[in-house]
Amino acid sequence: MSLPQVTMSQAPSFEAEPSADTVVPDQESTQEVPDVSIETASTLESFEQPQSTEGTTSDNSAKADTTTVSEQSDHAAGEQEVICDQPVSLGPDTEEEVESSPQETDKSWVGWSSWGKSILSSATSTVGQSLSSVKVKAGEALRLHRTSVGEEAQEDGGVEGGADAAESAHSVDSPTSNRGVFSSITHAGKSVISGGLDALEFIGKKTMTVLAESDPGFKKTKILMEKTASLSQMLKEAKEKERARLCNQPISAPSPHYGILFDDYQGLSHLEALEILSNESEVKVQAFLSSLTETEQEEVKTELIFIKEIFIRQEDKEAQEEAEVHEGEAEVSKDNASDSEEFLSVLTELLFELHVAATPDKLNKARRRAHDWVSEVERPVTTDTVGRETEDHLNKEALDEENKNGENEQEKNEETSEETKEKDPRSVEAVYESSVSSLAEVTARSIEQLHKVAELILHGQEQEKAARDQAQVLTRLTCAMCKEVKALAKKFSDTLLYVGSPKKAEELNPLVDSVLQEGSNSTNYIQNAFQLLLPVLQISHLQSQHCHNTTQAEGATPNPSPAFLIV
Amino acid sequence: MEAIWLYQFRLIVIGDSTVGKSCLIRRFTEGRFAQVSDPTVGVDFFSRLVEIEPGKRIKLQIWDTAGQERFRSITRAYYRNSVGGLLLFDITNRRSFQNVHDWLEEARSHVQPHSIVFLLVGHKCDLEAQRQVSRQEAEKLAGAYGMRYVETSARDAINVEHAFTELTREIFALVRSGDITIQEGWEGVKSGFVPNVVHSSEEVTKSDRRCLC
Repeated sequence: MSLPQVTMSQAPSFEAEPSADTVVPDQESTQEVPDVSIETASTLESFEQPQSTEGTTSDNSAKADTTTVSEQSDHAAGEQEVICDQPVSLGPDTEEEVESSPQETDKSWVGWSSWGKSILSSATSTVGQSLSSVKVKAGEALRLHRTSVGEEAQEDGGVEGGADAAESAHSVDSPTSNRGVFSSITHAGKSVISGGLDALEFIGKKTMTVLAESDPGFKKTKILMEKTASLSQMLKEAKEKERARLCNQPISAPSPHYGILFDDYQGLSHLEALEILSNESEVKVQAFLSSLTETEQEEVKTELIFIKEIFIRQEDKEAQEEAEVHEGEAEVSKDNASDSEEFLSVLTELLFELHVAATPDKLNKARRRAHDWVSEVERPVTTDTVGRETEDHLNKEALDEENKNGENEQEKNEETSEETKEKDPRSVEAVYESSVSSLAEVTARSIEQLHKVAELILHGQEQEKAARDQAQVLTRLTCAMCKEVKALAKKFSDTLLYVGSPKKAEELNPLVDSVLQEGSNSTNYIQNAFQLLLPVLQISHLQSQHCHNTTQAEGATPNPSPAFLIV
Repeated sequence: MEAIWLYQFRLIVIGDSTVGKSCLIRRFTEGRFAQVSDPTVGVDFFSRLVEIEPGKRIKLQIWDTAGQERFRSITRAYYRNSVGGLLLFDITNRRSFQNVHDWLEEARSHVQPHSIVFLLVGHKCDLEAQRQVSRQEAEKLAGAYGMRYVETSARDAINVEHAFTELTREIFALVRSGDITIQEGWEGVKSGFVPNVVHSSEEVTKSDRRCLC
């Protein structure tokens, strides 16, 4: 995609110099993860506190209108300069934190599967792939990349613009091979893609980090930073690789691939469109900021940072909740029946609160379909044949409904219905396929939902609800989606264990792992899509607040606020 | 599983609100006609395979844009990555025909540095009695802008296949002749995969890659 690059070239111009430590040297990536995250967490905290109060106070200042005391406003400006600079240089730190947190997730994956398995159950690969070739590929890829990362790090140390240097390093070295390297890593190694939080470093570019687990030769996980690829781009490449692989396989064994299914459900398109909106919004925010005087800029920045913090807080909360969920997993899985109604009402309520005319119909339908097939599979059967017939019948109905709903190519639906006719829906393979497909569908619909919300927020009508309130609601909405996806993945894996009980563990476990893995990836994608909304809310905030404020300001001298007086 | 295709073309469908963009696309991708259709929010996506010659399939990824003015600032952002487009007007609505010029300008200014191959579509041709735009007139306009003209009806399934395949063929010819090339960072045309031939992503992204047909 050309857009991210466009944005990037513009981004640095605005920011305070991205410091050289943006690039995490890859040697320390693994051993020092805990330290790094603790460290950054604490630095974050210490910076965040003053910053958030500053955010509120100076925001009040923007609105307020009391006596003009030039001395005070000078003083305030000076102070702001000090404090507001912090969040800007904060960016790299938080970036590191972002990188390390997926890594922790990473570790927990390693917990339940051996190295080989975890490579297999990667974000993009499927079970049944030739292990050895993957190993070789991943090894090559990492070796190759290691060199380029090294060079990058060197260059970044010397040159000031981190992003630019990295980019030029890429293009000078070998643009095409690098891309290949990345995509094969995405494909072969286990990868976690985390984007967006560079948004922390002001509205700047998004940095995608690929966290790849390498072969035992390297023993430890490497952090790879891909600065030019966007999330949808990476997913696309992974999907294309997978399709290439499928083309070379005998047609007899089509295994479901999450990436391809996700694309079939138009998830990639929605993600890409959301990225376009996000990038455009970033550009607009920066253009707006650069039109302001320095003092005004600082004021506006604090407001924008305030919104940003709502987004970051959500991530922290997520991590916490995740830990809790892990503890109480047994309960979660049993609760699903009551949960289903709850999810819809929560979703509807939150969308209503946003004051945008978005409806959760499509997401809810996808979700209900997912729950329905599971209950069908789990329903106890008295006579096998009778059960199977009704099953087929019901399946057909479900498919018909899907057809009516019609988000897909007809051909695909026809193929699926043929498949289901042939296969026993209670077979491990069928359950596995349905699981992956459902996860892909629900994730695609969740991202579509976020995309629609972004469009409705941007559509230029009078803002009915403050952007910061919308940010709060959106964080809850995203939380609800991720929780639902997690619950679904858990439910699917339980179902797999249920239908696969006669099978051997070594046969079943990779499938169960893979389902849980795709569930974890799904929440990552939703999270990333959510982060793309930040610039959208920020520009929406600027449009509603400042178009109005600046017209005021043009007439009068800058208004000092009571907040300054308090300080 | 997804069938094998040679190329993927991204098409954008534009035109005034209520001219029937979504209905036309749904007829094409889903084979049915909805009497009632909600206005599109922002953009929606559809895809379908088209066989332009025996064994040569093209995947069409269709971006269905909102016609409503209030979404204009958003839909503008979506033009850039399209190789082709259907520009619709409603033959029973003269105003929608008069706006064709504006739509073209809008698209051309936002698609730089690329260009879009457009097909002009006079929609709702089943409503002959209420026609406000004559075929000759529309053909003349299309000719002036170097477009082809097709009249379609989603309700009666007239020329729907024809409109899409016509446009697909036109683009395919341009790709084949090298007038349109695959470019990295541009989503308009993507190369697909041919069975039993490995293409790594490096090859695909090479801009000067020859087509394999």
